Amino acid sequence: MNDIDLLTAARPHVDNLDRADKQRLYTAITSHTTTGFADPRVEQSTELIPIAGHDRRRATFRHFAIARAAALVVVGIVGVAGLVALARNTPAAIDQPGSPSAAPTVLSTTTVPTAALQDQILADGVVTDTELTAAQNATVACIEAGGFNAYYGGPDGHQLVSSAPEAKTDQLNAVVDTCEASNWSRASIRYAYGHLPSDFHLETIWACMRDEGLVAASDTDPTTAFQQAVSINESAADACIKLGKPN
Amino acid sequence: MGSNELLAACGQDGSVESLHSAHDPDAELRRLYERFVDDVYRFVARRLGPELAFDVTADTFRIACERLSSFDPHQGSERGWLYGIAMNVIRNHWRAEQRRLRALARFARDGTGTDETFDRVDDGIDANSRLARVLDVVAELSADDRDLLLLYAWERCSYHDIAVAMDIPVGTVRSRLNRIRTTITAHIEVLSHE
Repeated sequence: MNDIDLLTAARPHVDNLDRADKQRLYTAITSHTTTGFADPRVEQSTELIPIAGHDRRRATFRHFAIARAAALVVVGIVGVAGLVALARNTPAAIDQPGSPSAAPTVLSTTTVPTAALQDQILADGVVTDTELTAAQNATVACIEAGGFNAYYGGPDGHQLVSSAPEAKTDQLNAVVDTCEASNWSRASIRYAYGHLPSDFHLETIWACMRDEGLVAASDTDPTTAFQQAVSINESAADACIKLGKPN
Repeated sequence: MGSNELLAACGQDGSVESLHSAHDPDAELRRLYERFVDDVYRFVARRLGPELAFDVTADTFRIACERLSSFDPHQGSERGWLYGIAMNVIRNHWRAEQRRLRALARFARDGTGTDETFDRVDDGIDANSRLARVLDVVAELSADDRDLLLLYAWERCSYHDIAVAMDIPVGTVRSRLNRIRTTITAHIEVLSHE
């Protein structure tokens, strides 16, 4: 068997869309609601429509159930946004620091430097919905300051959508990475950990990550520890998350 | 916005002058969708994963809608044409694809993803190891070469469909595929001796 035959024989497995998913997809196509190209907040010129430009979005755990095979990739690419989406879309969140019932801090991205904003959000160990929105706004402002359009959209509100001419793709990616790291990533992880579904076995995840050597036994800060775990070994971190996800 | 309005909005001057849409744009979009959505979705999902595939597939059909008027059914297959559009959208997610290919390579190398990750993997350790190396090389190919190779290997497209998708002559498809095959083999040989 030559290499291309091998590639063909072992192509990635894909579950077919069921009827409901197909209908939902068709509705999305005809209504322009799932993705951001029709969003008035992003000015679209003919140069920026997706085929000629760059569209970057952070996927979510919407398809967690069918994402088993690719979950490793999800964690590596979009674990932060995914966890936030999972947390926000779940009505039965754990009542712990970071839950919506916690008193929000009044924040304004116009009065607080964005790098300091995330630190301020994280200072009390609580990330409220309001603060999460402020972190998103700061990220968008940062990206716009870098010369690109962006917004958080999608069905769950956590997909970052930004656009740029193709020639500036690398520049956009660099700006987005920098802006999310300084304004969004840590706050969103903290938020997610405070809003995980009540039947999500956080302790199981934590124990697994310790056993795997992904986090130190003395490490109690999930914000930095989770990021570190993913960076050390995506595959192992993903396996731990799977262990904690309810069936 | 209904699909008629959407199609109307797609026109260069507000009108839709497509061979297809001139009759019933709503029906035309529906027909394209029902006939090819599975193909397009699987193509995208194999390359980017199911998380992104939903939105990318939606984008593909939206763009197809915008370009209905430019598609000449006498020039090639609709399937190939849709793959061509999908490839351009996929390129906007090149980082995601790179990560996915590397993850697939790890699955193959570790032998941990055989049930859920691949349609079929040879049980032999050597085959898995070889597959992992092939996937590593695929991740390093140019976007054009990767598009061509994966249309052929994963979607099992004909040379004709690939030619339509990539807007190149059929003869070029054949010669590029041979070159890619040689490239992969050469890279793996080099890696094997490192």
